[in-house]
Amino acid sequence: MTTPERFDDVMDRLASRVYTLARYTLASADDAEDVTQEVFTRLWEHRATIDLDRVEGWLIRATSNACVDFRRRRAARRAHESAAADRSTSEPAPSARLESAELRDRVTRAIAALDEPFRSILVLREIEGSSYQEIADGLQLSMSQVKVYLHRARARLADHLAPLRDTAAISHPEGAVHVP
Amino acid sequence: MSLDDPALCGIPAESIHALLLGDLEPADAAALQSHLESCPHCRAVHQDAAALDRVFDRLPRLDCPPRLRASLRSIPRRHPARGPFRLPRTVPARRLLGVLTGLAAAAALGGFLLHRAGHAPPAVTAPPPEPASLAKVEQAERQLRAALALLEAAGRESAQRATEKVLAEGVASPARRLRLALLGGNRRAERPGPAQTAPPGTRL
Repeated sequence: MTTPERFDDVMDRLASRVYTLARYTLASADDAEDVTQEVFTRLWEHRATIDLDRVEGWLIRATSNACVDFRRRRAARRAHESAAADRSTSEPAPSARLESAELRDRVTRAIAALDEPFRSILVLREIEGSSYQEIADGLQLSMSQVKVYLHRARARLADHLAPLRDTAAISHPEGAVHVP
Repeated sequence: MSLDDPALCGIPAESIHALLLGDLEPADAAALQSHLESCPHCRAVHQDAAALDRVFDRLPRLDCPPRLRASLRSIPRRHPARGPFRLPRTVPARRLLGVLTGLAAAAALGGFLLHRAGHAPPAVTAPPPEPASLAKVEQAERQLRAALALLEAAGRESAQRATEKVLAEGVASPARRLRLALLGGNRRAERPGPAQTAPPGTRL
């Protein structure tokens, strides 16, 4: 049975992963908080039917779906909130110093502009460091599908940001990245 | 260089990313590595892919903000379990439900009988409760218990399958019949007169 204590344990372990995925998918800290809240509320409400020993996959799936729904709802309100959305999508990743903030923002926006499942797979693999198996379980894909989608996502992102090899900010990677 | 302008060599950019990630079979990796030495287009794609890796290294995994974490911790308190679809699977809870249902039905029946007894004229022996009314009460009670058992079974399978239809047809309808049966008995008890006509078809 899922007690509040067990729920707390899951939340302590995985809240940051959910938040990271939502943050890079939606390119907005406020929206990422809303989605994170929604995902964990859903986890609590359906706790009787979820195997907490394999909850990572459920959380990945729920977060990805919640982000898709959130983007749809946001698109419906876009006419009234376009100014605010522009400000929110230009927010830099918090608590991180990079040599080029502009490049970081470009990359974050480019990731958020990818289609699913390319976006989720890219964030899960390249930023959260999830294994192919974890991603496959979470998104209910085969491992070969995950690899193909990842290669394609990287190619699309690189094409969107090209030419990266000429960007001075990343040609000398001595800049420190501070993660709180 | 763009994905819209395929290289003359025909090598897709995804293959070069797969090479960089180590996702190619050894023979394919060796062949592509050899190709890079002679294809400027693919070399450029490879350089972009490597640069992308350096970008990813600088995108941090984010910590859940403390304020959000505190809010998540309060979810169980803000969303307590409620409703018939959230019956715990423990046996004592199911037995308790059965006992409560029986007690409620017994209390309703007892109230009905006392009400009839209280309104009987003192000079006339109160007639026994009509078999038809008692039968209706008992039938409605059985239907209600069966409906609650079905509802609980549906909740065990999946809380989501306990639809409004089950609520309307499985619970509300028998409950309504029970109420009508009880009200029908009370109305007959209030009418003056010694004898009451039994409903048609009633066996006396």
